[in-house]
Amino acid sequence: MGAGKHFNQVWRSLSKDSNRRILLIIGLGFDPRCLKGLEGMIRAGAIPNGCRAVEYGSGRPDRNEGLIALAESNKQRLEAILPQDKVQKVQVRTLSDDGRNVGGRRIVEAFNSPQDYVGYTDVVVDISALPPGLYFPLIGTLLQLAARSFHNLHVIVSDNPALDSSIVAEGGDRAEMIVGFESGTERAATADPLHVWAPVLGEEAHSQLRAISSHRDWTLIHPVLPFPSKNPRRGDELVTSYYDLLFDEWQIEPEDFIYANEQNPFDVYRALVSLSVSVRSSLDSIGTPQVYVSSHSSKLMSLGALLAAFEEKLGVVHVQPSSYFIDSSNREDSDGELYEVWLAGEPYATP
Amino acid sequence: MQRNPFRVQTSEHASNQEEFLSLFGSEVLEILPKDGLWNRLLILEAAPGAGKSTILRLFTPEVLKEVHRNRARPENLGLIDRLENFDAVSTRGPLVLGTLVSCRGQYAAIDDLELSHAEKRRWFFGLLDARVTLLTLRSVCTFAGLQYPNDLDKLTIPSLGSSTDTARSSLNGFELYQKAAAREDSLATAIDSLTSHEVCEDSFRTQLSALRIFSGPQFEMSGVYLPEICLTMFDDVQDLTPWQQAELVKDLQNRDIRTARWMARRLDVLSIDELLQSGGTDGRDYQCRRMEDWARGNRAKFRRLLETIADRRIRKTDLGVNNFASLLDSDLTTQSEINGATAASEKTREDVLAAHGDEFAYSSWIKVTEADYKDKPDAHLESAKHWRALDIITNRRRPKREARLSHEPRPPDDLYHQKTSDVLTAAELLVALDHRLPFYYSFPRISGLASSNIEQFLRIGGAIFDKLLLLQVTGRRSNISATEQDQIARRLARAAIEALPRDVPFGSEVQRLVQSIGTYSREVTTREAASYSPGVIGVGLRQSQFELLLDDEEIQHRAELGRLRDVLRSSIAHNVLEARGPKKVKGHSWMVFYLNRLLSPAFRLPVVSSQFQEIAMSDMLTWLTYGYRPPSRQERLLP
Repeated sequence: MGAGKHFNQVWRSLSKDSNRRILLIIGLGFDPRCLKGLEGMIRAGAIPNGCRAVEYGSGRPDRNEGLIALAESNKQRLEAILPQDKVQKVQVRTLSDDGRNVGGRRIVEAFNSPQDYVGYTDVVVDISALPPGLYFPLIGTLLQLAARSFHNLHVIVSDNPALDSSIVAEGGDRAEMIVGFESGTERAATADPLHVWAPVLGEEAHSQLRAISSHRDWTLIHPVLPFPSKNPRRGDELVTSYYDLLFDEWQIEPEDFIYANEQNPFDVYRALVSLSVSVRSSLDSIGTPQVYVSSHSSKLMSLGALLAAFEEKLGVVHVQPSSYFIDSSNREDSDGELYEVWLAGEPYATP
Repeated sequence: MQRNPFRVQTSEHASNQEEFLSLFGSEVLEILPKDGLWNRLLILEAAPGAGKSTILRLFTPEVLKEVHRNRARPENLGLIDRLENFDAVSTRGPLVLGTLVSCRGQYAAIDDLELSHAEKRRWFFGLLDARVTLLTLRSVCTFAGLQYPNDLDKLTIPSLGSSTDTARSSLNGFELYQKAAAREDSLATAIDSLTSHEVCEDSFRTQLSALRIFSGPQFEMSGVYLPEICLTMFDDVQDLTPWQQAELVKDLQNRDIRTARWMARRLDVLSIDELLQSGGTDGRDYQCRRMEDWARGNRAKFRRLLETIADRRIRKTDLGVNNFASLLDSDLTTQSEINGATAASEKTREDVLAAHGDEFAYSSWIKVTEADYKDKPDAHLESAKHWRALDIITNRRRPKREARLSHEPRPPDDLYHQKTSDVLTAAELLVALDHRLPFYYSFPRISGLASSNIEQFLRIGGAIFDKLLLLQVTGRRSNISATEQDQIARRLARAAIEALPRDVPFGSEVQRLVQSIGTYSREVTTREAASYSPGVIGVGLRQSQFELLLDDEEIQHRAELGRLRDVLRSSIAHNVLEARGPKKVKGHSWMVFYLNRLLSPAFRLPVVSSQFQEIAMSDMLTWLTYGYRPPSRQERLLP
């Protein structure tokens, strides 16, 4: 994993290999971070050979003029950075005509053809401007394709927890499993299922957490708190913010909390894998433990959750909002730190 | 550490059956129809948190067995009585084998796959049928106290229904399980797959075969009594797509199914005109009950239900209290409240005398009011209310200037006749506003803020309990004063409005609409003559204008109508607005949208009222974009 100056080192090193052909996948919308990864790669000398820009939307007329303007500005910036013959725009509709969340299935359909990766050695997904409902199934699909297709899969993200907090999800109240991450958790054939849920906590997620809390009869709940974190009190603040939910409704005990480094997705991954292994071994004798994860925190932490879910076959439950807006009263500077995580390929090859 | 008993998971999600029953208010069962419960499709509809899933859970084997085990306990007598009336339990035990089938999950995702409609239909029924089979078999094991699925080989399902997949004289339970499990696995894996969708051909169905199978003679399990009534309950039906719902409802009405079948769905999937139909509509083969309609039509019963729920929760604490309502002051009792009410009484009296003292027509009214409340220092609030009521009634008559010219004072009976409870409530509200007195207090008003929703009541109860705990811990008092209740109500209302953008689809616009309706309602309510006693809490659109929102063609031409439809639909489905109508007023039909009562305190509106103000569609569209702007002083003065 490369962060900050290490991000530059990673891409500088990769760019020296003239045989490398890089396909970059980005989300092209209102998020001010959507082109940070591309700009960072170019600065390091790693110019993508191709770019697929995901333009996602509900299919209904957008009502927020501020966000429309931001999205338009990002499109123009992309045209200025990369020649247009290198860029393919991919439209992904996130809502069906009857108002259901279909973005996950649509993005899988748009990216699951091995033919699209012929000629590329590295696929890079910049999740900075993509919502979890899209990048979870996208990365899940690419992880399955990597071994038999392009081989190297990277994820980059411009991480800015403060900006994540100011992007407010509107109107999400229905919990559902993310496409590709049902992981056998919904089976009526299962004898004595024991549902264990690990929410990766972040700010302003009360209604989402309540929706997921109602989704199942949870046997155990293990909230994941970011620690260490840039703001050393962030974990305390989250506990305070969710006090009623944690202690009155869920009856959490102090030993139920799990801690994972806010800035290291592999720490989140290790924590969740460890939980999964521990739960399965200790509860196996009294039922069939099924572990679920949900991510309400930064993109970086959610990446760790995704990896754990993919490897350990955890269920990923998610609340898809109807739209987003930026809470400008809470908005901070949009420059975050760039991270690169190499998920599949050369570093993992057995000698 | 004392947990807040109102925030313990709602009874729907209680961790064990004993806890579930301890929290369950049996009055809610009154919504179930007396007849046809076991042989017609029953549809329960409500906003989130109204208690649909809780009712369904009651009829699962684990809960009914627990009820039967504890039938002698005093707190369960009412429940036992009601269940016996439904023939759901007897002295021998449960008479119903209930199976709960959630419609959440993968069914809707079938619609997103690249399949023809016919294929999607077969996948849908295939997966649902497999799960109905498996969950029913699980219910049998639970009822019989056996292990699922290993003990299913002890189960025999005798001769099959008329339309089946395989013709056999009987089926072994474990074989049925294995086949259904294989079908479920094949379909579920394919639906979730990121790359391919291969499914065993055997997995598909065109109807719920399981219910036909279970419509035959009673199951047999060696040495075990199994109930005769097999009940399948489909929960969260709103999570199916519209065509899946329609197909399910159609199949469940089929007469070759002789098992009992119920379904529960949230309001948010209905088209807007369906939302506004009465919840009591019944067809030949189904019965429909809308829970909010029941609560509104049975206010006293619903309040008793809330009392039961609150009392059961408060008894779980260490406070040694059995009755929640007794913890809430129903009068002004603190010194500061009494002082405020006394000052309000004096000031109101002075103002009324200043305004009407020289009007001969009202002299006897003034005289009786003086007599009724003079030398009654403890009746401070009552005094203020009645003086204000006098002012309201007099102002209504003011335009008729003959009052000054009259030679005869109006008789006191005339005043008493016009001083209805609505007028007195309006008077109390205006006194509270003018003199900063509490208004939202006492159990009837606090429970009224629940707006026919149990989960909402628990939220209010939770906030009240927090305050109570604080007071007890600091050793101050064991009751919550009127002022404290009022503050809690207003804080909850403001918080609910602030949370709308996050909690509800199209939340920012819903918030703007709610704020507009609330502000406008308050303006109308506080007009001098209080013409709409006890106060306006909603707005009405003329039926002809409302019907534009149901016209897809019209909406295609006017995008703003589509916006308004989305916002209204979301507001109604999430219990932010209550829709009623059509109501006939002034010779026209109106569709009325009332604020959820929880929001009333944010705008200082009454809790119980049926008053609304008519507005034009153009007004509502303007509010949606810009919010309601009260007219300026100059505008008010313009003719």
